[in-house]
Amino acid sequence: MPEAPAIRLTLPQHAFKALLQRGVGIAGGAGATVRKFLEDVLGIDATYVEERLQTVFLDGQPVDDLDRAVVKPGAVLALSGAMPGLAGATMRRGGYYARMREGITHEEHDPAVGVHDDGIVVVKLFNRPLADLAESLAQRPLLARQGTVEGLESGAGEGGWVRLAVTLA
Amino acid sequence: MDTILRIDVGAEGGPKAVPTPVGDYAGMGGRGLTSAIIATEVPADAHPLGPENKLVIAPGLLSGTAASMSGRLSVGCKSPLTGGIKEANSGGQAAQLLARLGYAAIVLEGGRKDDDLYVVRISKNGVTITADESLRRATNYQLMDRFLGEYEKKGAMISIGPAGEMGYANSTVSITDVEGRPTRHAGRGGVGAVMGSKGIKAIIVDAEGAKVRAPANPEAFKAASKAWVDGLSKHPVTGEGLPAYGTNVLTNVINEAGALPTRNFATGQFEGASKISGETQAELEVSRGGSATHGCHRGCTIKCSGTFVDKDGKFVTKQPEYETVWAHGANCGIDDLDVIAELDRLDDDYGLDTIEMGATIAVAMEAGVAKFGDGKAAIELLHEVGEGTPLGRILGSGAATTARVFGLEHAPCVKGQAMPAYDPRAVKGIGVTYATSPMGADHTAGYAVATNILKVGGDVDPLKAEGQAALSKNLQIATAAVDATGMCLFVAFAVLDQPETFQALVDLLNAYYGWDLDADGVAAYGSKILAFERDFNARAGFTKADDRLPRYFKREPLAPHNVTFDVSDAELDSVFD
Repeated sequence: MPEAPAIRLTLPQHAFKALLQRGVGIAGGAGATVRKFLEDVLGIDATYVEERLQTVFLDGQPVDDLDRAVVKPGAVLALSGAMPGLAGATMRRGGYYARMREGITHEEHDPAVGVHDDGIVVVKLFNRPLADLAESLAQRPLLARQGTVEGLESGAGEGGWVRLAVTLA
Repeated sequence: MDTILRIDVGAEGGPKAVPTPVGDYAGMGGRGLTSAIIATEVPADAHPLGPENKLVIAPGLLSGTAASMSGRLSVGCKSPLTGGIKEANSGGQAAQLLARLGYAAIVLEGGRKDDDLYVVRISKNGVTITADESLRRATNYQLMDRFLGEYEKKGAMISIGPAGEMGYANSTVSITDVEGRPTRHAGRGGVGAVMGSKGIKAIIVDAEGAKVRAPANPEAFKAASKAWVDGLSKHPVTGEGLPAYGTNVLTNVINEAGALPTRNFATGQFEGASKISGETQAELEVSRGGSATHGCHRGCTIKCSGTFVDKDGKFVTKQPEYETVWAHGANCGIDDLDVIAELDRLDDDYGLDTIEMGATIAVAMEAGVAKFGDGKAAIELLHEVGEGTPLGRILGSGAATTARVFGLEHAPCVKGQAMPAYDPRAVKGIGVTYATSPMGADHTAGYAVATNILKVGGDVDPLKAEGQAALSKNLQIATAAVDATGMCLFVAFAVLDQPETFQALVDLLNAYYGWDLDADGVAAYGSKILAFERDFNARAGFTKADDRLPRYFKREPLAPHNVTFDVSDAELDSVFD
């Protein structure tokens, strides 16, 4: 965990959700599989992970197998519900049309080696997961990039991260 | 729907409407009917704005019934933009009403004898056609102000703006929505110019006294309808995602995938994506007193549209779609929803295809006509198009022409039509459809309708790179079939996931018409439509050489994944083998 001063912010829902779309940092948990990160680190219900997180990106690459893809330090994990249209079907986790995105699909070459306490994972929430999980995410310690939300214009520590404690207005 | 209303615009004494039996076209609807008529009756070497071309306006097979989601209208012709066959598809009220009045199609045909502009009025009492010079260069919203009193209760208006009058290759045919606003458009391929070439400015449809179409087997139809609506409601896309956020729900996801074409397809991610996302847009609309959940036609249960209002709560435009937000947003480097909404309003008002217009402005920005990200300049360019200045006329001819005029290689077009909001280097399967669809670069031509159920072309491993061709073919066939029914294509996801919902669609058709269709029958219908279209294009001079993406998509890698389009020409050629 980088040395970073903590800033307490009271944010309206829409401002916090705007931040979540751009991404917040989660300290700890890197090295786990995506499923374990979601369930054990973020505390998302297993049924919700399986049934609602139908589109998952790791470093911009669609993930098909949550138990094989590994969240490494510095990774960007984006969570979405099922998306409309052919493009949405194409991006879908394990979807029938996955091969239409051949070339950008996540392929895991390094197996999970266990969870680290160091390292930051950026988590982005979109659409339905944004609506469903924003409140629970607001209740945990977060990191945000300086300048990504009003009130965070200064105070960045290592890597430009600011430790954030959010109260939703 | 046993009547085709043929309007001969070159008749002695002025345009003349003659109702004719559907005849050999019986059993066809929507895109099936438009493509059959164009392929059969229009010489493939006709000039798109000449007297031999026709404009066919057709509701779908289930339009006008009580089936939910059946309000789509197909508009077909030989395209001024591509030179090939075209079906442009739109929501709005007109499909339901035309079908209830008994019309399988309206066909505008012949060559106008003068420069007059006409208004066609269709009701249960018949058809009248009157000249009205006062409508010259009227915008679609001005036409609404003029005619709303005639159609707001039980009617709709089909019209062209100044763009269609000026013969622009990216002009649209507008169809009014539930509130009577000209917000829905048969957008792609310049169909508005063909309507303009026939001298028809507006068609006012008054369905007072027309009844909902009655099925052959009412009990079976009712049961199928219930299953249909249940399936759509319970699915997380059709029942939750689309109603809450609209199609613009895709911006964040496609951007994350690195497939969001940015600054004229230069990269696949836009740093301002979250500012113009569906989530942000819905929040803004609702906070200002607009709506993020709205249907474009009565009977829509998905309600993917909405209303965008300004900071004072005044209506600006319908909720901009994903394609519009992309075309006028990321593709032009613009991250301001108010600017994008203003551009959308202008597109609707002048009668312009938002996809082609946004792609064209982006090309113009790359050419230095304006800077990427300059929203004010984009709005000024759109006004030039609407007003018909020399620069406006260039831009109104589409992205390919604009690139040619300004000496650019980067024209992201196939068969002359600009690509929509998915970069084909990142989503290669969609690139195959862009390349091979008879429509030109088209994102709706290859939608999914439970092809694992249809099994057209057999089962293929979804994770293998090979087989993109077979998949694209399956999807194009399935999409053509859906486009013939009048169903909104957004039913596809629920139908894909839920076999019982696909079966409900087949059951609706069978119960309404007394048919005995199965999945193979649906696939055969889709194949027949594609065969019409490919045959027409071949006679119009298209060859395999036209089923290609621009070469630079093979050469220039797309960030962030650094991918190129590497599907071979042989595989592209195999799509329809």
